[in-house]
Amino acid sequence: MRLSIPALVFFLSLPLLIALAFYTTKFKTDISAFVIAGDNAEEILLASEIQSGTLSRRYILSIVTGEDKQVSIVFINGLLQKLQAISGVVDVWATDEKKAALGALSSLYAQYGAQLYSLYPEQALAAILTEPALEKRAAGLRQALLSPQARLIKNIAVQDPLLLSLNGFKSLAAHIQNQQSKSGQFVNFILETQASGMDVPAQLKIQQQIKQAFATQAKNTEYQLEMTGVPMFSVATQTLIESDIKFISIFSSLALMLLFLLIFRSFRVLFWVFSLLMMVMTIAILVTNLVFGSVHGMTIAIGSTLIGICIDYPIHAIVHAQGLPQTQRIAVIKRIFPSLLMGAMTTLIGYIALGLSGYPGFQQVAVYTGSGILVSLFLTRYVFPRLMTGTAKNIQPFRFIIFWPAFCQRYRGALLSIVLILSVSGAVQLDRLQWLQDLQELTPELNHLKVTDKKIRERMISMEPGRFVLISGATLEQTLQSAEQAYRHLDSVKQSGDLDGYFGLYPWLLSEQQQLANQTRLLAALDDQQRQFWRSALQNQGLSVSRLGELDYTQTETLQLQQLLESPIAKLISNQVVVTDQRVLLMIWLSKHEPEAVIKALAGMEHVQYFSQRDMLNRMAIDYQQRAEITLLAGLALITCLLWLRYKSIVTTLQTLAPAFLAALMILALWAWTGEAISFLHLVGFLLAVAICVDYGIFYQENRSGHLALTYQAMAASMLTSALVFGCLIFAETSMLQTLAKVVSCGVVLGFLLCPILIRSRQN
Amino acid sequence: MIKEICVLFLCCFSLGCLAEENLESVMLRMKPETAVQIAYQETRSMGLFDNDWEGSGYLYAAVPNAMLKQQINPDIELMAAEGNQLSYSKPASHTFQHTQLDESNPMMASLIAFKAMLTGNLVILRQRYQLKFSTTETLWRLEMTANEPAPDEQPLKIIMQGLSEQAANRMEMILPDGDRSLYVLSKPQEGLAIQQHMQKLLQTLKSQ
Repeated sequence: MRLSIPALVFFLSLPLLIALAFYTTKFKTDISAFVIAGDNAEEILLASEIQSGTLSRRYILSIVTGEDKQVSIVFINGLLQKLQAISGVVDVWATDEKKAALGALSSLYAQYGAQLYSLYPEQALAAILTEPALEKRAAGLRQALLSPQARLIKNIAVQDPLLLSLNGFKSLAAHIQNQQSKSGQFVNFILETQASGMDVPAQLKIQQQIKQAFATQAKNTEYQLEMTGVPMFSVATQTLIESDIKFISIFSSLALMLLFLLIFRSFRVLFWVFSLLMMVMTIAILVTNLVFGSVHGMTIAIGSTLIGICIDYPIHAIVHAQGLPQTQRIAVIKRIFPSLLMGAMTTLIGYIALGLSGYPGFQQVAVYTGSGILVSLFLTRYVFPRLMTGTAKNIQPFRFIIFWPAFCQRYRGALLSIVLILSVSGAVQLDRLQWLQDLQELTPELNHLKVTDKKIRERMISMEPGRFVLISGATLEQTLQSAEQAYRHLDSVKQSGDLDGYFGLYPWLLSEQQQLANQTRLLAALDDQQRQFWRSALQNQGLSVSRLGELDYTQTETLQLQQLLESPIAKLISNQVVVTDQRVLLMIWLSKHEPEAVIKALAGMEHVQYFSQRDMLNRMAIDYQQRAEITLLAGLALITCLLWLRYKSIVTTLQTLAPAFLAALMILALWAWTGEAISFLHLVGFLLAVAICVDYGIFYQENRSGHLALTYQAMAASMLTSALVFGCLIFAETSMLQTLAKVVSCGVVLGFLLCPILIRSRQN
Repeated sequence: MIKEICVLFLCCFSLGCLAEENLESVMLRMKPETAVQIAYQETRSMGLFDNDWEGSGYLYAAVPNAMLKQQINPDIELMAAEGNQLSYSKPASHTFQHTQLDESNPMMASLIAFKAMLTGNLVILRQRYQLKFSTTETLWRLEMTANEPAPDEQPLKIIMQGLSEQAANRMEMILPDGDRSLYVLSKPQEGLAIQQHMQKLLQTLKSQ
């Protein structure tokens, strides 16, 4: 066999292109970048935080022991040491650890007592600055100096004799006390990593090392480790998808090869087609990398279903050309090429529509699949005929290929009536179609992680994860002032019983405005009489007037966020504040609450909103769905126009589109009838099925080779390969891939069967 | 004659060797066989108080690892460290705490040292303190200086002393910030009754 120059160039350039793709392409695995975006500035910033911010880089580790037992402090300290030593771990701390906060009280907060003592300074001062209150305060100070906490209190008292700096921490202390009184059966840690939570390879390594550190430390104990956090979900999702893709790729490749051998009975054909497909995918990766600077793993995962479409063009070429001598092959492929081109155009329109739907990741999928389709078409037209070097080989069509079109021709009227009845009853069902409201239901295979997550969070301070008040502002000062107004509203919701508690930045920080106001009021209220009361109170308690009697609260500097972020307090608050050049976000975590009451209390406040992460994701999904519906409908309209321009006949156009439309209608009716909630994944599968079925309609309508049996044989091979490639996804563990399998496989089979019923083709 | 003098000298020398105090013998004496009760008078000198504060009560210790301080005057206060569990109770201010003894927490350092001394645990003392033991004819003295003080702070210092061949009768703690606590200790009492009383107090404390 002598290869032509184009064939030689093809086979030589294939390994070179593969090597180029391998070494130059930057692959991304950040799952959220594929799905999450936002409509407004706050959502975009928050989405970015979810992807790579502090929120995403933390694990919660929970050590569990038996009932009525306690996790030993020796074990805790040992485990902390081991975890700190893991490469890539920034910090680890117990969630009830008070050392950092207590240390900061004396080293940092004591000097800002006058600035931070209260959100409601008038009320606070009215309660503190009376003779009886000052007596009580002095007695309390005496008791504190005689208690086990004497050392801490002394350090604060010498700077802040009235212990104003502790005023704001009373409610926090109550929470900490509550936590302490909870069972010692659990100890929880927060572990913060350097890498983003979506950086799956890095996080997988860290997770393994955490488990190893625990196993070593917990030898001969009955302690157990449970973990949760954003990285757990991202690793689990990616691992699941990767293992599915590996299995499916191998399984479907083998199945496809067997099918090819069965249909074409030639290893050579197998080799040509698969070489062409590898070239297509390699070039698609290179083009996507050129346009976006990287290629996402999900693009390759979803885009690899491209095989099911791109394989159609060489299949048609082989079926029509295989039985002819080499000299006639180029001519026949040239003759059928316009149908292939039209099919490719309509498919491209569908993918462009998907790319415009708004899902960030699908823009990349559109470029990937679009470039793949064009390359496949080009190679089929100009290169493939030169690869087909074998002698003419006629393969007898399957009996069904001869039988079915003839049967449809004979009983067309009856079959059309059946199709019409099914279509009408399907159309009637359509108003029962349900859209998926909760994106969580897309991933039932992650339910075990969700259960563990809930269990662990219930052991901690009772914050509702994923629901908070989001405050934004152009500057930090603005944001803090808005937050202070929000605290007041939340306090009233608390009083009415609709909110158990909340955790904002106070008592850690107040706006400069509030700090100065607090100090001004205090200094105004601390007149000579109050100072005398205090000195008398100290004397009565036997405390040193010389060291504690001078109430000097004139220190003018206010506490700044930067000071907090450089102190041990940083780890307690860093996940609540996001500061960028353009915007500052502040999150107020909420305990158990009535969302409506909180929303109502905050209504009318500018740049303050109640935020639910789940609701945001679901709202985004609804937005995307609505956009996808519009763009897909627009795409279908464009396809219709294109075909009408080509055929110059509305009847022919509708006939050509009929198998695709009715297959789509039947799929939709089936979903409506079964009550299956549909999501954007169903739309992706729907699009693929329609794109392929439109191609079938075009090939059958035009029948450019003039041999209907050959055309339908080619369509059958194409249908079988598509159904097989997508059908293999049914064996995936990921339910998202199973959805694709059901939608596309059923769609292409339906479309194939409907063509002879609905289209009266041009027979030779 | 010479022979008798030599024998007498040797006996005196041997007796002298036997009589000489050392750290191990002191700690051995401190170590209770069952449970021990020691009455104490405490005087605290604190920089933020005009005058010294005085209190009194009982100290209890039991092997292997339990200590209880029962303050009677001026207020009732109970503090116990059993194993790595720490309990504190002050009914007058409705304060009750149960936590774990965190040896890495500097605020618990003095408590841990106290417990080690009362239970005669020389191993822990050697781990955490530089020990300087000295004797005179009538007294022995043990000076302990903490090994790893916090930066910019003086180390915790504990000075224990007693009469020769007797248990400690005085203990002074000098805290890093300069405050001092002086304990004047009575002779230890031991016995089953004391052990039972200590257990009862521990139970009361744990149940709060």
